[in-house]
Amino acid sequence: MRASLIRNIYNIAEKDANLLLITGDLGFGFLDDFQSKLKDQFINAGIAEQNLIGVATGLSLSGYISFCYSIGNFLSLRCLEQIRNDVSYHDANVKIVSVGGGFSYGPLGVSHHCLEDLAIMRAIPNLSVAVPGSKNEAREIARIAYQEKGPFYIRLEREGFEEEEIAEMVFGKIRPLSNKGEIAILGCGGILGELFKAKQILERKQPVSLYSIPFLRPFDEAFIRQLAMEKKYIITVEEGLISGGLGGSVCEVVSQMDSRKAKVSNIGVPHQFCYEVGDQMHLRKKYGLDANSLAQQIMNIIS
Amino acid sequence: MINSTEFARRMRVHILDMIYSAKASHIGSALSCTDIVAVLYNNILKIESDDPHRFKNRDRIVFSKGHASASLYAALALAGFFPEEELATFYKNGSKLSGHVSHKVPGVEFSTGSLGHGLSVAVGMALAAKKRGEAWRSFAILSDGECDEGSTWEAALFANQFKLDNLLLIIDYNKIQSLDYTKMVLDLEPFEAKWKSFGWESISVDGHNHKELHRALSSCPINKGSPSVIIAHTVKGKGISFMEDKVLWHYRCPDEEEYKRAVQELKGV
Repeated sequence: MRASLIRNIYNIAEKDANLLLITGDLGFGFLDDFQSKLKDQFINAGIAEQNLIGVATGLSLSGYISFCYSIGNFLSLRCLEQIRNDVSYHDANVKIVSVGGGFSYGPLGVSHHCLEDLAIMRAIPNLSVAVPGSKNEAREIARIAYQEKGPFYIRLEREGFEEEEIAEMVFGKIRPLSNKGEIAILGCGGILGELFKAKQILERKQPVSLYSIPFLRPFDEAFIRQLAMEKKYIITVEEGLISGGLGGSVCEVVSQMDSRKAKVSNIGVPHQFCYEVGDQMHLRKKYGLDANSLAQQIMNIIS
Repeated sequence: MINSTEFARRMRVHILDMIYSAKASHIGSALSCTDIVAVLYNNILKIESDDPHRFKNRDRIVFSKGHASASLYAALALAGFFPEEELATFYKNGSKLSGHVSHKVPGVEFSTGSLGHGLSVAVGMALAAKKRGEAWRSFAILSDGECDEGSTWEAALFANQFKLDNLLLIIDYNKIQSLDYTKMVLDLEPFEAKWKSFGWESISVDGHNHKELHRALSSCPINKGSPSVIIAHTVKGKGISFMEDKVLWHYRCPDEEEYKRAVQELKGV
């Protein structure tokens, strides 16, 4: 997903000299083209993320479009106040790209587990929050972030789901990936890869619908309300904190409905630090987020 | 047009009235940078009060010590960005004039209030002008206390790396922060040497001497290819004798008797 997003940002930057890529001294091997062919549009701000976001704000308030690049928590949590006060309050055209969402950097430990970012970014007014689940979505989100003026946060994970070429995505809209039966499974980000496999397991017994939620802000509330009226189950799945994340977002909407048909359940990472060393798949299994565990959990919910 | 000394005197009268009427804090901080702000707005900055944001080549100024907003608001009103009468709404319900600097106020480039943000933003603006080959300059006014913030020094490194000689930083070095003298909290000395070691060109001035301020502000960049810092040695609470150089007047708001004494000193009545 990272290569797909960066490639599209590069393609856009080739045509628009106002697009800048600012890295916090990260992106080894992924930013080479930018660094060598678009030198004037590439800035390495060093390992100084707070300044990076402030500089990006100043550049954007002076007419540039600043795409900022670093690893998960380094831009989101460390620079929370810069993102709130400087970028979002001033409606600066700054796009924050965080790679390594969820447990992408699992073995590196808690500093690199990026699990709370979506909940925290979602809490900031005037900030769009996007989570691509496939290479296509990553490419499209680069385009949308460029075209939509204003602050953007993009969480990228390592692997997503495979899909054929898609039509243009619509900003703020949920993407139905399949629509069969009364069980609606909603996922965001790379975990959709596991959900596709879980879906195959589940469909041996009953049909299920699967939806990608590429935007937590703006959030497609109308679509959620419609699902809550039509489906028997809404099950949210995320590689991150449920509270304030996708699960929280859905619950905020359905709790305001006078009546609904759907029972809502949330699957995600529990509210605790993970002390265990392990790669992404190991940690997904630990928390029941691999395809088999997900299928089992979903079967338990619907039975 | 009035001269900068009279501009500063009127600013101080407004600052006193605003803070007394609002029962607010930070009068000492607003008074220490008054002469700097007066010279900038009266003599130095290329800005247009009748169309503050559409004048593309205007100088940008980030007033990073947002708690001294009364000083900036008073200067903007005197410079014609909005009516002086509006200053009476400072801190008041429904007003635009918030206690810390707000970009919703005409003429304000950037909102501040949390220290350590402003220099980075001014650096980004300076870089934008450089990249486009535009002639406007980027100014930042920082307090000494906010040089405690690590982000300020991140910005200092970056400005030198990118040779931002269109960036001009003025530090209001009044040597008092919130609870104590800076020397007693996190000693900044040797302060000027720190900036020099970060690759900046520096000038130290008496931050209340308008001639010195004018000369320093007009002579930047001090050296082509380097960012410039003016370390303005100031006195917290400058202009009101019993407030000068007192930690107390970072937060204290004058009572009625103190207000009357201060008015007498500023207006000479």
